[in-house]
Amino acid sequence: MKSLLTSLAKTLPVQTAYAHCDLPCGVYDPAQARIEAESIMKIMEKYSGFHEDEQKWRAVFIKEQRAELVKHHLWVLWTDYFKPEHVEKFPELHDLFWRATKAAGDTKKSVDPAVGQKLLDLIAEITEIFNKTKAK
Amino acid sequence: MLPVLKNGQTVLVNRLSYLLSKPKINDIVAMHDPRDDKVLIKRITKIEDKSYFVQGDNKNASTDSRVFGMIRRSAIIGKVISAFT
Repeated sequence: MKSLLTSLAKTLPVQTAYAHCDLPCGVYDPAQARIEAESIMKIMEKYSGFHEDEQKWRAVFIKEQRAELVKHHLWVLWTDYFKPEHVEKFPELHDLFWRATKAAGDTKKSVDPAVGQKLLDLIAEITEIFNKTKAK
Repeated sequence: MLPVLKNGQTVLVNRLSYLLSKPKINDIVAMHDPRDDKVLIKRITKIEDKSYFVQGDNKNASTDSRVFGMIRRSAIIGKVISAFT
């Protein structure tokens, strides 16, 4: 019976279930959030040079996607990487993640590079703390 | 869901399990992550009113109701009834 099911599983289309970090893989890097935030920044800088509606529409749509990815990467770091002992040592951690996630949301609502820079600055603060937790 | 389920295993989910009965504590279910709709496999550990608290068996590495809160019945796809490679 099991070999029949195995054969069926190999031939029929099966859906993937995700076990995020259930390995656990131990691979965390604020660079993921930073790279998406840099992309947002570039989109904001280029936006003022766009004249076609199609270009503007695509820029806003892609910026929206990147901002959502920033939020995801921040959540992963916050919920899966950082531990209670990190919060004890860096009590500003929860507030920092709250503000950074809000800043990611703000980049959806604006094409002002200053808003994009604010997000990058907050991610840089998180990166600094992350690096300190990795230092031996 | 280690050690019960391993990365790469295939599981059989019965979508009709909860047609005539309700999900129970300790049931392993396939469900939609309320944040991004991805399919996850978790165990029901608490039931309150019509909401379900789900957790991965590998508690130290699981992203579950401790992160995304309790889930509704509508997020549950079905019961995991078998696992094979």
